[in-house]
Amino acid sequence: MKCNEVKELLIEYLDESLDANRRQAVEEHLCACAGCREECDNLLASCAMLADYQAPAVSDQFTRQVLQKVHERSQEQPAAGLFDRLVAFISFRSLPALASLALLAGLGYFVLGNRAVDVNNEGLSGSQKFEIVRDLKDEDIIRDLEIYENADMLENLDLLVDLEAVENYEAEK
Amino acid sequence: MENDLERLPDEELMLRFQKGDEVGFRVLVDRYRQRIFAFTWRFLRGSQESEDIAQEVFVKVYFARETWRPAAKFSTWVYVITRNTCLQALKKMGPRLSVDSRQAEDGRELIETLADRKAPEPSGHVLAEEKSRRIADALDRLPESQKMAIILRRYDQLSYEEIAEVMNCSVQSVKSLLFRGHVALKEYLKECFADGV
Repeated sequence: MKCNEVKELLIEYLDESLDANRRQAVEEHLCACAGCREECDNLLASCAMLADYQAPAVSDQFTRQVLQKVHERSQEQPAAGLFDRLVAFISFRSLPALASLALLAGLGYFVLGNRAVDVNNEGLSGSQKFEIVRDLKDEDIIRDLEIYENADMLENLDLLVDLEAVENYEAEK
Repeated sequence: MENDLERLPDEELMLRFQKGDEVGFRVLVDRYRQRIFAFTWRFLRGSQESEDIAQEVFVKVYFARETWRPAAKFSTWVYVITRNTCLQALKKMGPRLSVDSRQAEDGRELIETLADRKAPEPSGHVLAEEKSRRIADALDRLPESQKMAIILRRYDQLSYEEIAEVMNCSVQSVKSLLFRGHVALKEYLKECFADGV
């Protein structure tokens, strides 16, 4: 085995994770090569030095604080869960389902809308049916607007009636 | 009840926890808290946030319990979560990473004590802390992946296969990371301890 090959295996050798054959080959090389032996000793020393770097003990309150955080997050979770579910529902995966739903709703609107007009307006052509419906809505709106515009007049309705009565009386005369 | 659970293997506790037994979770936290905290503390260089981040790991374990599969070793799974949480924290904190101010202060005090010939010899405790700080310095000079592989191997005693699983790489990559990391670390430690402390 060459020096480079041995050096690359030194960490595995120190970790005792080499198979028997390679372990023996490394050991034989180390016996014969002072340079690799020194490298091996240095690596061993640096590994041993790492043992002096010890973390402090964790606080006594650690587990209690974890449980507290879990409790707090659980309180936040339902609202977030609902939002997440909503977002998930409107995600790409549900797009085909949503598109089908929209299509069905559209078809339903036209089919049922036409049927309702058919029932009320037998004998009329399709375009007329829509016109009539629109006219009915428009009439309502116009009536509301007229009431709004004539609100002053309506407030003085009694006066107007009286005036009309006077005018009629004079005309009759 | 809790005493009985303490004797159960991790995977059994996790299965119980998945079925709603929260005591199982508490036992797992007690069992792993020192290991996970030590990992975050070393990886984040004694940052003041290390304990919060270790707690965050267990909060994630709690809410991700359904994703654990009995075929997976609990310890490996918890280290995967720890690794991801640490990397997220590093990305978030970046240069703000606050090294424990007491450590830095102790380091300065020691240098002043050594410089002052009339001052009494520094205590063993102070020397040990200084040694720790220098090892932390040396580890910190390594690339993240080499540092993580060395911490998982030397301190957490994970096998090469487990490290590969935690770091999401091949066993061969782990061997390579450990080899290159140790060669560099040996040189950095030599530099850090050149004055013989």
